[in-house]
Amino acid sequence: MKKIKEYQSELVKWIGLVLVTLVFGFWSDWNLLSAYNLNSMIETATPLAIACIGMAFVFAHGGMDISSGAVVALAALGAVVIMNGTGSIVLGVIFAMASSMVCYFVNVIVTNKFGLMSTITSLAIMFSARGLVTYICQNTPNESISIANVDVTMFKRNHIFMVLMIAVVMIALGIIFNYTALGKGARAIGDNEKSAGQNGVAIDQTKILCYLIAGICVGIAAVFKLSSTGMVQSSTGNGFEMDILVCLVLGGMSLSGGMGTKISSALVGSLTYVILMKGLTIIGMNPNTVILVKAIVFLIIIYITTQRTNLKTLPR
Amino acid sequence: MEEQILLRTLGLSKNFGDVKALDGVSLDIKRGEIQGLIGENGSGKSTISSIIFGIHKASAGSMELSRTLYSPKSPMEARQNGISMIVQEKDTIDMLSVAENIFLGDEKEFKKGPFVDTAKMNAEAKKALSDIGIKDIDVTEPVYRFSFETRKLIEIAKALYYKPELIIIDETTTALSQDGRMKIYEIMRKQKEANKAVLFISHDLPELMETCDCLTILRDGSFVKKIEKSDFSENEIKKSMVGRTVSENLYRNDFEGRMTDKVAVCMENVKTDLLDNINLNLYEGEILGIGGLSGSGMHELGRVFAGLDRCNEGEVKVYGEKLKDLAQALRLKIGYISKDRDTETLFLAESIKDNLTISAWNILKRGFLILPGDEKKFAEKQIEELKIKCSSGNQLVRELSGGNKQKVSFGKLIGNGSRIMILDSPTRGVDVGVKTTMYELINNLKHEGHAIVIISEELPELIGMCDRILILKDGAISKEFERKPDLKETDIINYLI
Ligand SMILES: Nc1ncnc2c1ncn2[C@@H]1O[C@H](COP(=O)(O)OP(=O)(O)OP(=O)(O)O)[C@@H](O)[C@H]1O
Ligand SMILES: [Mg+2]
Repeated sequence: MKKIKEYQSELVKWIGLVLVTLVFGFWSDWNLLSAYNLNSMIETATPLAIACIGMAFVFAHGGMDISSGAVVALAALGAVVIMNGTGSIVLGVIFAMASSMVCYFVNVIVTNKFGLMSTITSLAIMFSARGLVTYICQNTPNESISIANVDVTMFKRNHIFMVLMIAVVMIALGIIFNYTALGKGARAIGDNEKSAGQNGVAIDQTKILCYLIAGICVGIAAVFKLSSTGMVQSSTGNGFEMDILVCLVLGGMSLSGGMGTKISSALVGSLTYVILMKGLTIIGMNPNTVILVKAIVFLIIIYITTQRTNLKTLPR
Repeated sequence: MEEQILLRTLGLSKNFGDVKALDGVSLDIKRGEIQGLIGENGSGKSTISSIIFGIHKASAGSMELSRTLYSPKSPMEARQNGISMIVQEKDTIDMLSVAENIFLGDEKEFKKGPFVDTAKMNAEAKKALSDIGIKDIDVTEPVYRFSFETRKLIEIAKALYYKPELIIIDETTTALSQDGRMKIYEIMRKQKEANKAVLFISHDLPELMETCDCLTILRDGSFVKKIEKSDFSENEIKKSMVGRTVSENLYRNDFEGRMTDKVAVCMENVKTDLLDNINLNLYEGEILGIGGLSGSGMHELGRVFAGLDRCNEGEVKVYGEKLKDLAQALRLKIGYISKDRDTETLFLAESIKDNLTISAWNILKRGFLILPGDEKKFAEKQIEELKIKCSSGNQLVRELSGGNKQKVSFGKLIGNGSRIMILDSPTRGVDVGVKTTMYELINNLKHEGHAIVIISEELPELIGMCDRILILKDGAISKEFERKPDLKETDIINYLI
């Protein structure tokens, strides 16, 4: 009994995932799980899950980020330019990760230095990155830059590689998150920054590393996004930041962070989200209604999670 | 005699999940009486008080107030019935002003149309404070600007403003220095003279024996016995509390002085907003005590040691290196436990295990991994050693009794590899039994060559444990005492005031 209680929240989200799969599987006559749909879901899930897992580090320490969509666009733009210029995928990938890391590094440094709310800084980063991408794209002939003379099939059609990528990121970051001073420190900061500092957590350093991890993951996500569309335009990555938020919330992550934050929320949340969206489309729901459903799910879950945190015991 | 009983509880019980915090306790509180309540940490003192004050609801049993049935649903209702309480933990809201805190929940008293008449509220707040002899507080300032002790005094003013028939004082005196305590004693005396009642909770036995007319003892949530003043005997009380005989002497017995002459921390002409020209040395293998009254700057001095507060002038050198900030203090292995443990040291929403291990990651690390098995072992050792009363290491710290929280806070520093330890009020609210253990641990650390600072409001603790005692007054060191057998409280008090 006690064990069950302990793992209750963990169980709930897995049950949610299974339930969503069953409901929509049944509803769509198991069309949801056809090879075609499975592949297409893996393609959507890969960038999303990887970015969410990285972002868990930011949310765990009480940070908030809404710049990821714009950063994806910027990183993808850099990657495509490098790939086209050098003909090397590897250089492109490295550049995508590096530019995304720079964005997040600036973000955290500004937040720390000026004591700003992280949302505000990420808003500024979002506008700058998005502005830069739009400006560059508008000055190209097709208002977009396409991948030319490099073969990105691996990032586009190799589903085993994609699943492996998710697994590797999840395991590596899962270990860091749960069993190292960095991950534990980040979560402690989310609980009580003052106490964390006095207990020996290096606050600024931990925050910087968390943002860098998020940066790497968003950079990888950008490569997958770029490969699947084959080009970058001013609208690339639009709405990605909101998708990440919905996924995390769906996975039961508390958006204020803390020791109880689970990184598995990021993975389960993004899988549930992708299946939910796919399911709704397959059963023929109109795309605008899908967005509405997204918003409603978001609100309901926010309501539930805030309710839960309000259950503080009384002072003694 | 019957009509003299103000409040009577009949078989009060309280369960928190599986934990039985209170088990059928019946007691009478008479008018014109100061009743003491004593028991080990987690014996249910705060629980029964909270039920009387309407914070918790009893699982079973009932209460009578002046012989009519009484079951308050909220503290507001308790106050309307003439019962006030000063709670053990912090009870003010940081961002609200002093006046707003005092009248929290009673704003309607100051209504002027749709608005609150702030001017009137502030005036009343000033009056409430001056009633307990505090004059120099700006009631419009948010409370977080004030020290822990001042916030406690604000709570006292709040409790008294309603002219209660019964006032419950839960473990407040150990949060206060000598002058604050005097205020509490004075309040209790007046209450008694006006034929009203006091329920007084404390772990300071001499204090209880001095001030109370009778003592009720609780153990593991049950009533043990009630003793009248004429039958008070320290050993007897301790024995009923713990259920076994406790050693006479709490403190260390030796008078051997410090172990080395190696300076760990050296302060030169340190000035901050509150401290004035502090010069001192702290040696390895030494226990240095720091005492003073409220506003003397003793707690601020602890923060300077820990790298939390910066000096305006002068410098702090740790092993010859100039101390700049907290990060550097941690690198130099300075450990600090704050008096304001709930907001600065503990993670209330987390488990005991997580709380105990967080400051010990550096020694639990294998490679760069911190494994759950090691964490569990480490936590269990501390839980056992400090007798932390809990259902398991996974219990949340916020569910612990006040004294047990303090043990967690103390347990963080023990065995985490700190070389210099700054302990601000380390035994606040801890019962006699565990205090002895803590003092033993501190003494062992000294012999291992650690440099230790104890900042304390309790003079007996300083006299009993420290190799040297520095007395602070108005931010400056007014006197230094060396450890010796015939040092008495009265010798020190002269330099406090
Ligand atoms: N909200 C809660 N959830 C679970 N257990 C609780 C809760 N509140 C109190 N307890 C338990 O009830 C018991 C009695 O606690 P209480 O606070 O009354 O002790 P106390 O006598 O005031 O001790 P102290 O001297 O340390 O203040 C403790 O074992 C404590 O862990
Ligand atoms: Mg208590």
